[in-house]
Amino acid sequence: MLNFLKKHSLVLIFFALSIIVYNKWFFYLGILTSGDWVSFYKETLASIRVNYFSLWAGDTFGRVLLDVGQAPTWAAYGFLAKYLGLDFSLSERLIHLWPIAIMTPLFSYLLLKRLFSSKIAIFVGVLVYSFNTYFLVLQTGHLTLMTAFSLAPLIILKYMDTLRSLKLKDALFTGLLLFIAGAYEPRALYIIAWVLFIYFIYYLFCVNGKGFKNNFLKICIKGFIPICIFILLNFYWTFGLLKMNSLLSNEILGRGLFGNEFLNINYALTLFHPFWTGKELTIFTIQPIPLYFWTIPLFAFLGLWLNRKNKNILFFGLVALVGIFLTKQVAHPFPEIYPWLNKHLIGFNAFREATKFYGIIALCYSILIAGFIDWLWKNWKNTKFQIFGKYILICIIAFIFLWNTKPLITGDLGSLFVPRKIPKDYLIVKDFISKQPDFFRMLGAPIGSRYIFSSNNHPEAGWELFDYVNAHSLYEKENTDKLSIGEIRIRLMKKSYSNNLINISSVKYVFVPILDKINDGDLFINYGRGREYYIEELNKIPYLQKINVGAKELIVYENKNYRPHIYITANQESISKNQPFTSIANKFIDPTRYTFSVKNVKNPFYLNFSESYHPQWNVYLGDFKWYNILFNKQEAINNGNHVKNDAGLNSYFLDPKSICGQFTCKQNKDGSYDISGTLFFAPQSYMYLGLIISGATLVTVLGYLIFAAFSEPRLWRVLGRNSYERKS
Amino acid sequence: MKEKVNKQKYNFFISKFIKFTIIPLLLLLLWFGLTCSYIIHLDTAFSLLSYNLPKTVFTHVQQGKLEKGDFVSGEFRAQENNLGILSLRFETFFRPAYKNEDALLFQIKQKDARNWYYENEYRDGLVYDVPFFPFGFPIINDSRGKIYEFRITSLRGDENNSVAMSERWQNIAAKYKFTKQELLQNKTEFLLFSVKKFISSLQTIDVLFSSLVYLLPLFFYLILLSPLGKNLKKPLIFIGQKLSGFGRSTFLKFLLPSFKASQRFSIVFFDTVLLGVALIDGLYLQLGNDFVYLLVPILWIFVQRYFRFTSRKTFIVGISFLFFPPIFLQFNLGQIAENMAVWAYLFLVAGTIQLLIELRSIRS
Repeated sequence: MLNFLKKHSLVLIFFALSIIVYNKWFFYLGILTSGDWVSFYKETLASIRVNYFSLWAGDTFGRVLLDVGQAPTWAAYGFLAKYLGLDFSLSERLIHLWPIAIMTPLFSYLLLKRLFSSKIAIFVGVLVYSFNTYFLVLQTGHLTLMTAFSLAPLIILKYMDTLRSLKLKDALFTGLLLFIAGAYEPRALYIIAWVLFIYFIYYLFCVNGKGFKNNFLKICIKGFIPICIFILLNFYWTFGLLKMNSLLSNEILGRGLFGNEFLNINYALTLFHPFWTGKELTIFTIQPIPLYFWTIPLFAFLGLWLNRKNKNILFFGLVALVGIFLTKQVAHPFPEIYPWLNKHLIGFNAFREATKFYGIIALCYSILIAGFIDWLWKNWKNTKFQIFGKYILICIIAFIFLWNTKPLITGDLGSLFVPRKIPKDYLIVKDFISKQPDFFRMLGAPIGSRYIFSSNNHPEAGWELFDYVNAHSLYEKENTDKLSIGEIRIRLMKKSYSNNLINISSVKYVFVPILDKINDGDLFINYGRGREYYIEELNKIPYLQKINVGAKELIVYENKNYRPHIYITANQESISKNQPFTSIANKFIDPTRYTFSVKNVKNPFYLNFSESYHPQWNVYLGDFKWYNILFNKQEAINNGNHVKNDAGLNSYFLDPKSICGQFTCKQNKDGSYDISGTLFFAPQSYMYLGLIISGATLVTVLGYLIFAAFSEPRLWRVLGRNSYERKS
Repeated sequence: MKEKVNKQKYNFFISKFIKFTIIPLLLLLLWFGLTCSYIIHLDTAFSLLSYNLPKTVFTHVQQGKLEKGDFVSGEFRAQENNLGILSLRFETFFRPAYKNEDALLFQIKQKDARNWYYENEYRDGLVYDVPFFPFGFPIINDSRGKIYEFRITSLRGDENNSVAMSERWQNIAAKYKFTKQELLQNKTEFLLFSVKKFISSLQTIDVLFSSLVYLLPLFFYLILLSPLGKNLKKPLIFIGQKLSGFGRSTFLKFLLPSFKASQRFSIVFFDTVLLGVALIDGLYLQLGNDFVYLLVPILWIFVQRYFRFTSRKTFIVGISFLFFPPIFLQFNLGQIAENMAVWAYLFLVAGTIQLLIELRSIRS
């Protein structure tokens, strides 16, 4: 027992340190939500998130799910809520927060242990990796990135093992780890994959010694197996998006560069995040670099130079320089290269700002600084000056990174280090809404709240339809240059077409969120006007009726004439005129598939489906099988009949006589028809095919790894392996 | 036998021809190409003619930061027609948040005119990206010989959010914009314009300095090739021997760890030139010229390899340069700090490349 404790003392120290630093995550079980990290009700998770293996998301007005690559982690929230009844506060800890707190130091420790023998060097290296300002900033809201980065050291370690051992199990395990990191955040994975590629080249030409020519092919094959496994495991989403032409160009990848003024080489060299204050972050206000942060590059590059004969350290030095170069974005030197890469290198356009490359610097500096301390520890032991000097230097370096943790321990960092409470009003509204079985949407004015309830049946609408109509229609154009966003939104609700638009987009309730700065931040600050303005203005809108749902402060308005999700009209739906409509029976299967049936129709009609228009939302009549789409055996109604109405939603023109001649319908005695069909987002069939391929790969890889683990238990004894240094 | 001798003679001739003619010509061509490219890059277009103006054009210069109400004004005589840009060099400090940025009001008119010919407001955040900031205005076709007044006023500046006029030499230039048609309609005119542009550009310190740096490959090559290089060795060794105590000192050996004293002293000349370039650019000129950033580290690596020096010195230089940025940042000289950080980075890159080459050499 004592031996075990002694052997793994560092791991235990890191575990204890994590518990102290992340005490708000371990000891308080309240909801942690801030900025981009939004919280969900258990019912929302069980409804929306459980359907994340899908190319179409049913939230807002529906959208192509471009972040479907993260489906395994997001769907895990849904499964935990649906099948184990876990609420968000516990799920976020299990899937993101606790893994960050534990895996970051642990995996960094494993990598450093393989490179150095000195415990003190490993200890400081882990501090550098775990508590640098960039990673701490990520922990205030960008948890997906942070979780992926926490896996990075293990992935690199296993890849190094793969190239050295040339064993299949190492290659497969690396591929599996890449998949897990990608499921958390594909952008972090992209960075890690490039680091692996550089290592592969470096290993081939600089590290690999004896038997280079004999092993060349073997190294190439084993080096690429992890990437192949990764590609196969991600086939489920890449295939579908590729078929839609949305993988390499979409609205996320098409965004221009951002934040050029926040970054320069000083910030990159010092691994200092420009918004870090040591307390609450100042978003978009650059902070000066504290003087002591300049010791970080100094020690790191001293580490590189002092360990220049160590090929692994040299590699990380090289990668650190690449990381610094990318992190400075468009600052000198060579400011044109980042925009060029952004435009021409596949996948690089996902990085509209360069802070993500801090991850590389953090990883490399942790190794270089550990290298510096390792050298000190081994060489400074002869004179009193050296002995005292090395202790002082080590304390200084450790202190810089430990001091960064102060605002996490005290909660001064705010954001995800302060547990929140859901205001009661939102719980009342949640009960009020969830009891209603019909489909409808809710709209927040001027903005929604993170606490408003939503589900597949009751999605929260955004302002995109109003913006779309305002931008594309010729109705009532006006100059809004001098208006705040809030004022513009109120004006958009007062146009002559606004009532029709809100009706056909199925918005039943409009609400003005409460001002709860502690739990929800100041929602109104970026919209130009105070809360009272919106209440006053909405009171004046005739098609909205203020209702009492029992909430104290939350104001809710009802729009009684909202349309169902799927309905029919005699003429094409338009925001310019209000026309009668007929509800039809329909059933939600998943966000990509709905069934419907129309009874007793004789004349041509329009089938309206209030999801954002996409040309691949098809209507299939009669018997429907998704796999028939892959073989072109499932015929949809003519694409020419599918139109985008002026609200930007889907309408299908169906003529019973014509379509019933082509597809199976039921003809009634009076000559009318009963038509049944399926609305299906066609690319989803490719996703199903991809899921089969990725699933089969996963089962095979896991099967092999389990078999290998039983046949050679050393696979699990990662902690016990000797360092490369000691081996040599 | 005769054939063999002839072939040897031919090979000798060819190698000498390449060594003494082709390579120097290529390096000369490199200098010319890079200089022309930099001239066009600096003026943003070939059809712009730029003239530096002396500091005497300023009639009012605000010392230090331009805070609210402070202004810089001056007057100058236009040397050409088509006056369209007045560039002024600013000094920047710690970059303020977007919402706090100062606004600079630029105004220009012909001397004694009642109203301003043109005026516009600019966020001073733009100056952080382009310190030699070009204030553009509608082209004045008949500007030659006329005197123009300009004025730049800070509208919201304060202690923390402001810029200042740069103290650097050549901190103001007038630019004249010609159209393609004007330049191409007459070959002689075009040639005259090109010569004028080349000469006027070389009077700009930025171009002159960059051009000299572009000339360094040729200069180094000729020194190493000519007997001058060998002749330089002797006086350098002589000086070294005079300072024998220093020459044998552990510190010098640590800095220049070559086993031959002659090598140690010869390289000092090349190192001084290259470090001089880095220091002049980093501390004073702050050109941000990518080709200078590229050439100096390449030459540095080449020189170190030529004299068989390891990466140690390069790392010492790179790491030493890392001490500059925090010092300058303490004095709120963000631009110089950033430039010195760039040079530190470039020397660290050069050192790492040298390490990789050394690793390859050991392997082979």
